[in-house]
Amino acid sequence: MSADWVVVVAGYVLCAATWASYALLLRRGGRRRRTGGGS
Amino acid sequence: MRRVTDTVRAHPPRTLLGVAALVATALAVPVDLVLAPPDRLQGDAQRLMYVHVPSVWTAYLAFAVVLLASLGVLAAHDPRWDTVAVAAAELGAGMTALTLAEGALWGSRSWGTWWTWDPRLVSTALLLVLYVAYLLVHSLPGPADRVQRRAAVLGIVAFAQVVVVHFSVLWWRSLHQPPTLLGPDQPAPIAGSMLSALLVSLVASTLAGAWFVASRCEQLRAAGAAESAAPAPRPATASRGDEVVAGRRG
Repeated sequence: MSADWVVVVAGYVLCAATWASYALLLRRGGRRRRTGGGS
Repeated sequence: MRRVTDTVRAHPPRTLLGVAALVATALAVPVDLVLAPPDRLQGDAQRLMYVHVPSVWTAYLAFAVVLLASLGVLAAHDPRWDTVAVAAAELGAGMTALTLAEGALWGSRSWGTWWTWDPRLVSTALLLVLYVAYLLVHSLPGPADRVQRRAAVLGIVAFAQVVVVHFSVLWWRSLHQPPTLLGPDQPAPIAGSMLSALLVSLVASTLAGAWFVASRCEQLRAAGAAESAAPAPRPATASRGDEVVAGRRG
């Protein structure tokens, strides 16, 4: 595999990992709000 | 106790968005990696454009949503706008980080360096810092309406940096190429086969972003509703005197 294809594959893997992390965030719930209930 | 994750129910329009994003992605990958021709000068490394440009496009769109929703927070005092702004800021921050990482990969091949103090790179890094700051401000303890208003002000002001990032390659001398699709030269200086591949990727990324924001909004609303329904904590104990957990006041 040429150096060009190495960076291309790395870019697509990064992209897939980012979207997978968003899907995981939706699955697990993510951060909770720490603010109060409002006034 | 109901789990927050259980409240993100199946919702036909949102499910349709998710399916459409998956179909567009399944179409985009072979088009980008096989059907689109390699660049005459940059070779196959230029294929990074098909993830780099959609990432920053999605970030721009997300930050535009943060801007509009923040205006909604200040004008309408409706917490639903705040939820939209937070979901969009989370998407935009992640897409900006992805843009920087993909740009570093591309730069390593085309410029011979992963990073340089170039106006486009520095302004994009600052864009990421601003929206991470937005999320941090939003997570500060305090009365919800005050926190939401402060974050909304930052969400409005920070959008100016999107303009700076976009025009940085025109305003200053930059290693980065000027905008291709949204640049002053029309028709866009790009081969038709490459443009088609890029448009498919842009559609896939936009659909995926819309799916995420819609899903995350419902999740954050459910979390907020569950928190509001929870019994308030006891404010003081014998050992802590008058100390009150600041985040639970208001």
